[in-house]
Amino acid sequence: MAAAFPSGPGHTRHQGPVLDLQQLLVQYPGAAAPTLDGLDLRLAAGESLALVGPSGCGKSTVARAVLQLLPTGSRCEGGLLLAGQDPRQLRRGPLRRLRGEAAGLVFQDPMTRLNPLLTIGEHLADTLAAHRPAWTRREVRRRAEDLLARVGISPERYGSYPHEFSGGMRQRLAIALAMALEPPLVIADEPTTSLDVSVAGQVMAELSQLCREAGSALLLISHDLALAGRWCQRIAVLDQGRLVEQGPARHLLTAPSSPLAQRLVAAARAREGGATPAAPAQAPVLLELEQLRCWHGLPSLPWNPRWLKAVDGVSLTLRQGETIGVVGASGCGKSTLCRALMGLAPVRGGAVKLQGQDLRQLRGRPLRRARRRIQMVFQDPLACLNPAMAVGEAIADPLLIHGLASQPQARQRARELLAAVGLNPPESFENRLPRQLSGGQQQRVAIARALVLEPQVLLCDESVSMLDAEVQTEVLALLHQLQQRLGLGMIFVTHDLSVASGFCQRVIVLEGGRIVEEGPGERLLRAPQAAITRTLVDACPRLPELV
Amino acid sequence: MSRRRALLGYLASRLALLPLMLWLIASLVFLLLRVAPGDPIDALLGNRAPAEARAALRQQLGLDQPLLSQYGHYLADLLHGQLGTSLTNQEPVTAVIGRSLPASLELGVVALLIAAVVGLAVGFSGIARPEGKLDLAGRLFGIGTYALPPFWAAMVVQLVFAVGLGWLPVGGRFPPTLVPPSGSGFYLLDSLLAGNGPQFWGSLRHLVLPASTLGLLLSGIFANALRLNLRRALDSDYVEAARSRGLSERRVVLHHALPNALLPVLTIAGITVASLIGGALLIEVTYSWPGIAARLQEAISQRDYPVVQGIVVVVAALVVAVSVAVDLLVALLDPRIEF
Repeated sequence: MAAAFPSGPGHTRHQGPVLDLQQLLVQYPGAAAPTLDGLDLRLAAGESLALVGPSGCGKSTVARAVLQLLPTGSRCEGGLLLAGQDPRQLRRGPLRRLRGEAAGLVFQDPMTRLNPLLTIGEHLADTLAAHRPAWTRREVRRRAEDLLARVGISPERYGSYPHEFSGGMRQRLAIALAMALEPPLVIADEPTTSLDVSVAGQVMAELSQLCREAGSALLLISHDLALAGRWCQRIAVLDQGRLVEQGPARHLLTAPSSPLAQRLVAAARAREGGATPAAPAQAPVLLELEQLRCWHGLPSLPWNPRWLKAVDGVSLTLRQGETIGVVGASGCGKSTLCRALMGLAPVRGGAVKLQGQDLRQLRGRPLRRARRRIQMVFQDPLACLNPAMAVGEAIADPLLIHGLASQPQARQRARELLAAVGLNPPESFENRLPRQLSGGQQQRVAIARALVLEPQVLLCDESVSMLDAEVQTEVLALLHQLQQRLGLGMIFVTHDLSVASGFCQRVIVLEGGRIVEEGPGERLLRAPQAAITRTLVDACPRLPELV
Repeated sequence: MSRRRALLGYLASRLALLPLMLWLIASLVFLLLRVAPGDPIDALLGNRAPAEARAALRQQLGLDQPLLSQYGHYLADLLHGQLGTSLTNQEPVTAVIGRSLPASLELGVVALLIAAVVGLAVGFSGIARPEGKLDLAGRLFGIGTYALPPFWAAMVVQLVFAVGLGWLPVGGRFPPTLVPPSGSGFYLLDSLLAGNGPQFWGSLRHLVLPASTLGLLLSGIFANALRLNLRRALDSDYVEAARSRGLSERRVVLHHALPNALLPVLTIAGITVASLIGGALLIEVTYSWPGIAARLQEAISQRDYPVVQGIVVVVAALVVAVSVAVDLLVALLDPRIEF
């Protein structure tokens, strides 16, 4: 297969390591400390290495440094050899050739990485033409269509635009772009973080298959240890710009030696496994859904209505102190379910009973009062906090909106909640802006804001999926502790069955807006019944068993 | 295919709304003119004229009829494409517009071209070195042109190039010693088609100062809009991704960043056209350019109801046409837009 593609003129494979970093130091302009501080890393031809570490450890900077995509004014010192060449020594032309021919890059967010005004085909043709000036248009086109076919995109979609593609398809295109010139090194920076589990599995499988075929080395940058262990031979752990440990994936994941690696592996295990907690004994019922239906009207003729049945007859009962996990692939209706419970999505049928009161029968003030008892924590804390509002104000705001407290009382309450979610001392946090906090701290603020109205039901829509494993564990522990203390009922929406299994007493699996399977998470993981559950279980990379 | 149909549907809906909009504007102008203080009879005869003469003129012009009936006549005429006759000199309003609109369009189109060329060049020039000297100069240029009061800038230009240096005429549209070319009313075009050298040269010389003044005043908007959008596009993720694939910097800027940056500029250009009328008035008055904005101002001061109504309706229709055209163009260029 690989031999079908002619290599370009002057394209010879370099012998020796594809990537050789020695005591690499990178400092961004204006930064107080170097981001990479003496990094040693070596990648042999055809090898696959995962670079893991907590957020902010400098993982993504490696990719930028290798291709010299650092902002102007950055410091970059130490040994850096890509396919035997130092990109810093090259003039414009050779550097341009090195990018793309010696190393291809796959980025995290495929949507923003594609030019919205260019078609899929133009992206590929543009790249090929830049490196193979001698090729005719027809040759470029044929090669581009071949590449599309190889990543599972029909060549008929050559003229489609990126916005017409799903996330998985876009990431496939990104892979085709990175592999277009069969570079000896492919760097994938969190390539599946923005994709749902089952698609992520397929995309990773394609990426590593293509790398094997082309003989390319793979440098996978990820915060997900299980993913790293599944797709890479070796793992290197990075902390504060330095290598703290590296070794064969299996060995590192089962017997890590450095304290950081031990912590990371422990966090990943805690997140993944975890015995399913026991259901509370006959606690009072908080929330009851009866045949809830949320249908969106699709553009159609009035006498022949067509519906998108996002949620189609879901019934469940949530008791005090209980957590129900809702899992499913993207588009299964889990977010619509949350939005419907919050009154953000229109409900077409069924009943939502909060402590025996049907919310759909209420109007006006009683409805608003009832709504206070259901609150939600969203996926992206930075997006759901007002960027211009100090976090103390943001937490106090709901109290003021509902007229439940005076300004000083609300401030005091906000401080108490900041302390409750572990942001101590509250005085040092309350005046900060959301972007001055880390991702985990932002999500704590979002939780505090949801709790300020003293709700009885808390909806968490993918609330931990944007956080890295260690922070995830902390936030989950916080939620658990708050639940114990306040007797909250929680609906925990996630695409990750293993997280749900360790956190929720019961898990329901949604597909096409209906419940297809229900039970304790452990059983679903061990013996999935429905086809979609099996896919979710298989797709989810897991750490190797301890022996 | 379905996209093309959606586009045509959008166009059809806009065209269907056009009569409604024109009716609204026509009614508003009618009402505002009658509500505003002042009386065409005063403007025509002066307020010391004998009452009988005033009454006679009022009856002759139909201004003695009840407002509702005046409005009815006005709308009926409008439906038949008749805009009435001027109160001051009995000239048909269509003739007034036919004479002054081409003058304004000629000035506006040339000014817009100058604004686009100068503005885009200035906006683009700072890209090689952001925050460099050239970039800074471009920003100052942009801010400067916003801040300049148009009439003052026009007067300074007039003083320097026409009065002081004597290179170009002070005002007017055509040399008084020549006979203006006949045809569409666009003198530059008409004289070019007729192959008349002196006529072409004369109208060009008169056009240079007003068009460049107006063009330079507008160019700052283009310069800053392009500069900001280009900076944003060059900072975007897809540009970094394109660089990572080894595309040449030239290709990255011209093929990836520039089209994305120009889309919003195009929208801004559409809005600018609508606001051109206000800016053009000051320029037309300063340079005694016989355009429609100057004519409108004159008609307002004379309370010449039919002329004001006619000009406003025609200009409104033009603005709508331009904004629909810009919307369509943006939709054609941006595949993401749906209707």
